[in-house]
Amino acid sequence: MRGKILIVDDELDILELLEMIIAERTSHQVVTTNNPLEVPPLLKHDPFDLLITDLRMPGLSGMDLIREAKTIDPDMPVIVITAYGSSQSAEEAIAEGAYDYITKPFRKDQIIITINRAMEWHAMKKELAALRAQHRPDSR
Amino acid sequence: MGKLKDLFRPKNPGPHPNRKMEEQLRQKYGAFRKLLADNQEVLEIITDLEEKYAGDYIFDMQYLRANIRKLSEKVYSLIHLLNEISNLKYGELYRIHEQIYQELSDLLAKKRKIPVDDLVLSFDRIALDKEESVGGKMANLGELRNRLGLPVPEGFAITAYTYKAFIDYHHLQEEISSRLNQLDINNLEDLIVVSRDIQQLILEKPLPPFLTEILVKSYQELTEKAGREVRVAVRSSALGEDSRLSFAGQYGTILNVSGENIGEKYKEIVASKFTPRAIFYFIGKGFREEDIAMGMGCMMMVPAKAGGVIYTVDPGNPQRPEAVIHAHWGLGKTVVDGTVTPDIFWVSKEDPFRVVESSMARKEKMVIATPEGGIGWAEVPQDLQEGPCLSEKLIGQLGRAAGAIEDHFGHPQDIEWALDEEDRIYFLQTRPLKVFSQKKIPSPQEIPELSQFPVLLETGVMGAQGVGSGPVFLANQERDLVNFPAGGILVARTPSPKWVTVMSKARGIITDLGSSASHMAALAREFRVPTILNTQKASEILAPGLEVTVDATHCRVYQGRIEKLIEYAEEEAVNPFEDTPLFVLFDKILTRIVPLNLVDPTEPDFTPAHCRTFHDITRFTHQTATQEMFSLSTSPLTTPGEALRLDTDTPLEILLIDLGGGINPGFKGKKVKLNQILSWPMQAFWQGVQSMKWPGPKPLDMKGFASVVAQTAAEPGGENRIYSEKSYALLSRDYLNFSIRLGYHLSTIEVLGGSGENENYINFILKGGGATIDRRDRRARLVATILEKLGFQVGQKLDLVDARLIHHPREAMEKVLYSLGKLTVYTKQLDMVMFNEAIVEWSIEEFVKEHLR
Repeated sequence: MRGKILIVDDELDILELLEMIIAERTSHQVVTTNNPLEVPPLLKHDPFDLLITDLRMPGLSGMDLIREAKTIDPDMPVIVITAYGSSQSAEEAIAEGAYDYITKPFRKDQIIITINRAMEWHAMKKELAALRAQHRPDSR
Repeated sequence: MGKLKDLFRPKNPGPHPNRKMEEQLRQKYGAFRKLLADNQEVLEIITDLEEKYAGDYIFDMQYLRANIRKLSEKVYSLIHLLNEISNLKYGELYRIHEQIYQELSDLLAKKRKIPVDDLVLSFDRIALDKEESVGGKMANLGELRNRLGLPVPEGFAITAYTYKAFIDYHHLQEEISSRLNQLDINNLEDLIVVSRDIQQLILEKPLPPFLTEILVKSYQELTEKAGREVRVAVRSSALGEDSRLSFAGQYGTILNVSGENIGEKYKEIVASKFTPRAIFYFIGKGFREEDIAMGMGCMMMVPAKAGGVIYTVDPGNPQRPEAVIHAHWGLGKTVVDGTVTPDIFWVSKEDPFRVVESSMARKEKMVIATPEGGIGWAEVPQDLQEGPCLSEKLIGQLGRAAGAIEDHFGHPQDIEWALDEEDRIYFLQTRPLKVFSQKKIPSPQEIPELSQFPVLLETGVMGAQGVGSGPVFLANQERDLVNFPAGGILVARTPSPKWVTVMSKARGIITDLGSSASHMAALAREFRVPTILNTQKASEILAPGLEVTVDATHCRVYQGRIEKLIEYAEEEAVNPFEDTPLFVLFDKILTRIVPLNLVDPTEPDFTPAHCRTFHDITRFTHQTATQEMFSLSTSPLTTPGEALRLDTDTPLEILLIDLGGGINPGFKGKKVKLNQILSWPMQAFWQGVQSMKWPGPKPLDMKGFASVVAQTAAEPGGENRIYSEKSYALLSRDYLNFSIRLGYHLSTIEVLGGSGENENYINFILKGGGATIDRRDRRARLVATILEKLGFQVGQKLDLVDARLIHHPREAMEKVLYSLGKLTVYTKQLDMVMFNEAIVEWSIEEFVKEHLR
């Protein structure tokens, strides 16, 4: 399955490394930005299958972005990555609706597994929604 | 009466001098333990950095900054503690630390000063060493032209310094800064407005006369060389990683620019530094915007009849040995953009540069430089649409160049080229090609062939990843290494930095003991020698000369040579990130941290002045602190008023100084019995001493009498005189520092056994004696041989024996200490009877037979 991923992190290095590793290991298409303020317009303009966001960024924080993303596409999974891992922020992110939470530095394998799982989850959600739509009484 | 006594009692006498001394010893010991803990932490941080550098992890600058700060603090602490132990003998290390720390801070802050240079540099003056002036793109091109002698269109680069000159001329810095200072980057609308304002500000300013002049002159020189009016290709050439986002792909290259338009294009390139994203980045990251400069290249436009790219390694199939050429009619831009389907040729990079495979495309449209400037689409003539756009000869030439460029840069390259009407090839750009390994490295279970090879070892921890194969070479001592064969697998009981002498020849290292945070493991990673540590039994199981394959990544040793595994490992060794700016920076950082230049403490360069990295300082402080502690009990101590005596049957006077937890705290009195001693090293050692019968004076031959000292020793009552000197033992629960003066010789034993095996060690030195030097030498050899049998690494020179045992668990150390106690008694005065070599052999045999089994 080929999906479309948006990655936002104010560190260019992380964006570059993530883009490379996703290109190497998966067939997903990647769009990156170092400016979290660009994320809402990007999400509105184009559908994405996954958002990967840093937690601490100037402009908009990762938490803000989860909330923003949920208003634009409630089904799109969001993976939070952060250098400041704490159980509190993890719980908070999950409570806000994040799909998963990864602490930097992380292994390449780890992010790929998480991405693939999130993509499958998203695909299933879409299928489920389609099935539900088919079986709705008014669609008969 | 009581009052009279009080009159003569000194008032406020202060602490007893020995109390003070003991307190100092305790402090030193405390500092030493802290130093060992910090040493371990430093090695763990270094190991972690190396692990991240290997390319399996994704991390950011925050990780680097945090770890380097922590590392620097710990190394500073090591220096401080060593100076506390040694009474400020190594103050020079502070300066060296400061210097390294400053270099690291500069690297991390990515401070980049714009180098002063000429405004314009013609291509014949550019090579890689000009990267700071002209940016990576132009520097690479200069390297192709001037170092490799490959054809590159004539041209010139506008330096980063010109950028500064342009900004300064119009006093733009102030205006730019004031706009940026007022900007809240968290407000996207403001960001876009400020970006547009600054770009406008730049574009509306005229080129300064000095810049116009030099551009006109440089352009004239180009036309003179060409003998006609020429168009140029303008390429932005960004300086350093900080401006990566500033172009956003829009200003990479502007083709077919006329002479009079160069200045205008230059301003566009400068303005491109201030896109909203770029501003967001350098403000968000706290960079000095004025330190980030723009370079630009102008090169003669090749009116290409064909063009394209060469990948020196096929990205789709990196295992193929050939380079792959993508080619199309017209400008190569279409191939780079992917707007056309090109011809593809796979060509050998070695003589005879043969075309191995090709795939032809139908080429109907092409892009050409238009007469009015710029570029446009054109029809490919009918007769050229089907056939290949390159001849075999030209493909061969490109293959030859691909091989040479890849060799020169030491890495796969992505090269742009153009072919002119006269079939002359020009190179327009080269940059590192990111090649990804297509195959995931399989685990042993996933390679069926492996089942044919017996697994000899499946234990241990990885010291350095990778796979290597070769014959086993067992080394007990450093001197064994003289015979180490090139391509051998070094097998040793303990890891030691001394093994570094063969690391350039070794294909693998396996040790029984040790951890991945040891100095040797760091060296192995540096030399990329696959290494497995702590196997417990490699030196017993692996027979010398046996051909084995070491899979350090999975901690397995197989019998035989397994080509398949070696091939996989070669692929695995590629770090796909190594050309990214973060890893380039990381590499520079590691050169100030990891390399270990101080290996052998006996070498004259084992001094603070020769410490060039944090690892050097760590090694130096660790080694020197151990030596300082070792000499503690041999340093002159005054009459031990308060020290406790050991209650012993031997004629020795042993004084005990408790550094903490060495003696039962409930003990009262002056003479301590062994059962009150809680220090396990002392217990083990002294039990060994007590298990031996204390020998009387040795019978001497006539030659022995020739020695005056020996004579004294043999005199009736001489024995008592010999033991009149006191011996000191400094103890804690798991530390012993014991100098035993047995008449004319001194042996010092120092033991540390903490919770982790990694820090455990026994140091032993024996020096002196009462007999002639040849006899003392024989006894030293005897002691050395027995110590080697006990597992020590031993150095011996005349009557000096210097031995060290490391990384053993506590139980094993207790056994060794017990034997060491026995050996101490056994060899007391043995020098007197070392008449000849046969006695040495006989005594060794006797001791081993009677006391070691």
